[in-house]
Amino acid sequence: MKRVPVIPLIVVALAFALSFVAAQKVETGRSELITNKDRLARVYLPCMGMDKFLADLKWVKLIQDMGKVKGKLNENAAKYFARVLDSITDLDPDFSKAYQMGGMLISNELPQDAINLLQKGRKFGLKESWSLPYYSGFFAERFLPRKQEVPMNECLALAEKYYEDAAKVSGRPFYVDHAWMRLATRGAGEDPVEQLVAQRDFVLKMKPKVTEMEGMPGAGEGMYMEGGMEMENSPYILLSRRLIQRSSGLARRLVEEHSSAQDAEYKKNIEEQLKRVREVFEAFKPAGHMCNNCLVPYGPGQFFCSGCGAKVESYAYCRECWAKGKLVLLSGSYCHLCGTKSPEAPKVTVVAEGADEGGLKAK
Amino acid sequence: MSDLIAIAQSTFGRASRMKALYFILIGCVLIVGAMGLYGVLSAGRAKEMMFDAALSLSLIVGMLTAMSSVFEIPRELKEQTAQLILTKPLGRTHFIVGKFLGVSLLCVYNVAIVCIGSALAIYMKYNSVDPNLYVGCALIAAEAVLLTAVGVMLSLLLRDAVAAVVLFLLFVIGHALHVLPVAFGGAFAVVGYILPNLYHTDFSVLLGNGISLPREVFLWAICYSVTYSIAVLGIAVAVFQRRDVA
Repeated sequence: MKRVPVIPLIVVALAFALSFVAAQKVETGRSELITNKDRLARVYLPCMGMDKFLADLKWVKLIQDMGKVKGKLNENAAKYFARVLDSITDLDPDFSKAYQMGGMLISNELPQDAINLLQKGRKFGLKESWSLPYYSGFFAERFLPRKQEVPMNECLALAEKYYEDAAKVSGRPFYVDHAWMRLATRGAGEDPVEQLVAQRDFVLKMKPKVTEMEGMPGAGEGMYMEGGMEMENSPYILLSRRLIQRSSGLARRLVEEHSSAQDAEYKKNIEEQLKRVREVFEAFKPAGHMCNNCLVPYGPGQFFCSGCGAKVESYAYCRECWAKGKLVLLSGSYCHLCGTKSPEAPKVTVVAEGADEGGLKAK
Repeated sequence: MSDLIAIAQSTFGRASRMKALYFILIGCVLIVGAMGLYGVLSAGRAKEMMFDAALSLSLIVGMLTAMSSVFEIPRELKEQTAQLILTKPLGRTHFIVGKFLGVSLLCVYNVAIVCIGSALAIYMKYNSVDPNLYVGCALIAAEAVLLTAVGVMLSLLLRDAVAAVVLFLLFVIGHALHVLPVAFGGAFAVVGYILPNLYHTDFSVLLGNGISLPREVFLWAICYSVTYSIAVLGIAVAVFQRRDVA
């Protein structure tokens, strides 16, 4: 009778136990790398570890099929593309192009499927992408109402929610926040002044609570909001900049209209509107010097606004020299020509001695 | 120890002298290079396709090489060379481990050729190579080593053709074992620890999407492959020690 091989069996038991531990460690490490564990269940096809390459091949075939479409895409073709895109993203849940390009491809015919595809991308793979919620919002706003399956208000509310989600992701472009603000204040109607006032109220509600920088990663480099988002990237900052621009542009337009208007009633109406626009501007007024009339910024040594011609409060020039007919812009606390101390510190250093003396005197 | 190395060397040397092998490897590298031409057809994903093709072809090469382990020992037994070797003062363990090491070395060698060739093709096209490619190929080599161990064990239990089919089935099933507990409940997780779970060394989707693998995860994946191979090889040794080879 042959002996039982004891040593190999002990080695087998030990090695199996070790492999069990290693397997546990590997899967723990993997779960930290992927955003959603459920995505494991979706890759059910026997792909033999070539999931991503198969997704690539399916993608290439999809591109060829897209090229075969003559004229407008019909609903059947769109359904076929939706199925293939679903399969591709099952195989590779991080396939960002399949979500974006694929979503756009079918959005006109199957907007709900396009939104579902993008939301699948958010759920299973690309959680940190701003483009998936943004395009979801775009499809919900533009294409979903056309199908008339969902009421317009619900579509817009859905779009607003998606835009809001996109605006919370770092690295997004400015138009994401603008789209969110536009939809969130859609109740204000078409009037630009009404819109501006509504947008001011909307943005002011978002004014962030700034947390202490000490002890935070990268402290000293920027201000941080509650939740860790950098202040500079917060929707509040981006949208307040937008409102400064919009109110400034609108004020300029109203000033022009006011100067050319003949009707007294109309002029009064414009003045009222201008007052409201200035209030919006005041709410987010940036540092620096602005014309009180048309809200255009002006530089040192300027006596009149270059936008509307209104008189502005000039700064950063030597009063002594100006009295003698020379315009000297200050680069420090003292005039470099006469040595007189300036009443205010200049912000910009520009010297244009006697450049446009005649013109300035004439004014 | 020198006997072990001699068996491994002879196994490796005989297989690596086959010219057909190099045609296959060059073919793989050419396919990876050709993927670089798919820029327009894939809407600008040529680089990703080259990367994915490199990993997939490395996996195929690794799997096919590991399959040769199924035929090694039965052939030696059929040609009576095994009996000749075993008449020398050489243990059966040495014979099995030597065969395993020879085919494993061949797996690493073949995967390395495809990996380096693909890296060169990618470099020639884009002037840079994602280091994830080397990580992916190392994991594939580890997977091929694990399959080799399973192949050696199967070759002692089954006829060579049947063993090859079973090994291929284990390769297919092994990549889908992670689905079992999710689809059928946690009890099925046990199956994933008994059968060779190749999903533990499969990170191609994450690597292909630019997600770098932490060093610990990489090392644990290699560790899984090595320890599982040792366990399977231990079974193979136990089986071979009780087998009548005369």
